[in-house]
Amino acid sequence: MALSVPRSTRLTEGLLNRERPLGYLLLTPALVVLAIFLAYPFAFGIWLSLTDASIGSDQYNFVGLQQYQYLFTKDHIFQRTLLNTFEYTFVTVIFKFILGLLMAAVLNVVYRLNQFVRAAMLLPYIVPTVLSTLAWQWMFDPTYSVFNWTLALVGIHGPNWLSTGHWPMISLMLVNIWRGTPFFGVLLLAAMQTVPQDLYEAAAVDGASAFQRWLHITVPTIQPVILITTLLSIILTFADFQIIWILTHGGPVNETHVLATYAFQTGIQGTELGTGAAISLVLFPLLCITVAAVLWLLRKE
Amino acid sequence: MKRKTRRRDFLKKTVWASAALAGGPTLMELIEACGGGTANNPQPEATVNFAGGGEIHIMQWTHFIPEADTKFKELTSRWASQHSGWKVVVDIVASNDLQTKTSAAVLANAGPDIIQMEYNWPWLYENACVDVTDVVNRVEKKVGKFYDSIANQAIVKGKWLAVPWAYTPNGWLFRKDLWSQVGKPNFVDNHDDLLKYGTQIKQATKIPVGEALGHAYGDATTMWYSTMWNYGGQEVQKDGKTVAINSKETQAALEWAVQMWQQALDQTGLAWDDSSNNKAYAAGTLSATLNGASIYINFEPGHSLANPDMLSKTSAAVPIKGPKAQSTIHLSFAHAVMKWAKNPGACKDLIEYLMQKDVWGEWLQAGGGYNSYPNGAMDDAPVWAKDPVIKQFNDSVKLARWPGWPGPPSKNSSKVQTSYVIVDMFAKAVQSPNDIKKILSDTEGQLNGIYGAPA
Repeated sequence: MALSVPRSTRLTEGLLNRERPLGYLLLTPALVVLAIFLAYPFAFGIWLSLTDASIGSDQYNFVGLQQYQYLFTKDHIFQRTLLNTFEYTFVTVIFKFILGLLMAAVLNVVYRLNQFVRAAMLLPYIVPTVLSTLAWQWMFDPTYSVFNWTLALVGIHGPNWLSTGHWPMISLMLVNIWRGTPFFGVLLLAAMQTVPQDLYEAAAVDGASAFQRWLHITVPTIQPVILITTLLSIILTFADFQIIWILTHGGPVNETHVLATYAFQTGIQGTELGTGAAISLVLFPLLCITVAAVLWLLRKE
Repeated sequence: MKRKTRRRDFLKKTVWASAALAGGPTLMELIEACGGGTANNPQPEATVNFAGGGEIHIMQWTHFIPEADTKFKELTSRWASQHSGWKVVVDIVASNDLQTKTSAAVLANAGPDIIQMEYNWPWLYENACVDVTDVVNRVEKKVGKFYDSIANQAIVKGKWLAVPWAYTPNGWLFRKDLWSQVGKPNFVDNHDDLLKYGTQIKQATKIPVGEALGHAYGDATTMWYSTMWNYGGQEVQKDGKTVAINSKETQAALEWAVQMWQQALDQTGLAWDDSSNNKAYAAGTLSATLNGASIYINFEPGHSLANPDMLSKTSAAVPIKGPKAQSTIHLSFAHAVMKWAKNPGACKDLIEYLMQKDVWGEWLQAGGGYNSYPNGAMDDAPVWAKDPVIKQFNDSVKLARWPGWPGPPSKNSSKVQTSYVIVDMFAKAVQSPNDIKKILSDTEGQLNGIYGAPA
């Protein structure tokens, strides 16, 4: 007589044996986490930006797009902040790309202590941002700046790194570039190492110089990685907070604010939650456009 | 034929379901439905019932005199030891982070049971603070009425929402050796002389006067609010609503600030926070600065920056006067019991204990006289008699005003202060001295935007 298998066991086995239900089942925990910690806060943020909510106040009203209207038409600090964000992002990404590419090219060559140099060059990216920025803050300090003390030894009066003219923004960019270059370097190095060697050999046989091989073989081959890395860097830099907040707090006089720091200052310190949410959400369409553009370029490739 | 559900369709539906969830109950509403108390629906206020024990968390700033924090923890432990099963945990946070953490706690309806509020913060967080009028009444019966400048900031719409704890009085710390060279061994007492003699010292020695013009919640507020008031400027009228910043008086204050900046001040001040002038003065790179007594106290033997040479060269003077007033604004603290506290009665009892003169006096002594009591009840404390330099700080308490003066404290004046509108006005003026009229007009617009909102 055949043994009867319990119905529940048959159902379970059926579930585990079929790819589609199993796939959805395994996806569910991640979706739940995304829904709670990403989708819900994002949707709630959109809601807040359409209200005049403030911290400490129980009542708030729906105001539609008034917050956005105020920001774009009346809030001069926001307008300056928007420009700062673009300036900060695009200048630093360009420098990080160029320096990262050079770094990868150098690290791609095999020589003694190669592994040690690779590890050392990663350090800026590995050290927690807050810690490294605090060290930079000390190096830029109005009283104790090691840069200015060194310059003073050779008779040069160093700039006010964090307080005067364009120096605060330059200082922020410097720190961001220092920190972000290894990100490009490591990813581009990994891409370079997947380029087939026979391509180089064939080119060398045909008389191509080292630079020509690099320009016409290496760069086109790693182009998808360049695009992805650049995209990620743009997203991360657009949303940068720590470096600016620690070094300048968005100052002097709100001149180095980026969207993230201004949203924080307005929403949390200024208690204007609705306005703060609107400021931070301005990033979203900008990033969507950027992502769409890069993905379109990738598809083209 | 039934259409199979594709993976993409499933994902789309899930995303829309998540968005729909956003319109549903929030997490806090769910907690409330399950019986947990929140700021919107606080647990009924308990009478003082210590049975069963408990734990109280107090959050406060990092004191500039570390020994004061050590003593505070000792005092709270002493209170706990008098109530079986009770414990007090003092959460000390970086000064710049205190407001951020307070906001986070209010948003989350959870966190420390007692929060040390600064300035007008009870107005900002009024819906999260417990009425402590009963505590204040009992304390004032013993020690007398609190000064208006600190009381006004804790009374919100007729209710005490925090118990005044202490002032951090400010005064001018100055290098006696440098100011003696220009014939002012006891410093100056007005803005014109500060400009004149500060300039002379800078020209002769390259050592400037120093003051923060950045977003320093203590020093920048103290310096530039008082400068505005001393010249007769004000952000609003007495009604607390009519913006009055764009005036000849405020313009005069800005013009003085520009001259000070160009001739006598340390021009890195735009990037300073509240510790920067302490560091600069200790390094010997300032001739004077407006600050709490921490700079002086930390030079004393046994302290972190003990320096007999700088101690002997340093003295203090009360805040200076301008053409229209002699005023200042002191960083003031008040303890607020939060609505989510499990035992508000015990929290109130702890605060009342700490306000006793003998208990508070121990904390004052440990801090070396850095703070002042919220009224004159401790004016005869031994720490003031011991050192006339420290006494200058206590003497300046009565000069204090509050953010938004002459209007009453309000949520709007608190927003103006925490957004650094007045400080930034001065900072913009020193950066663009030819645009003072436009800066005044822009600031007026900003203030109209804030004061236009309901208080």
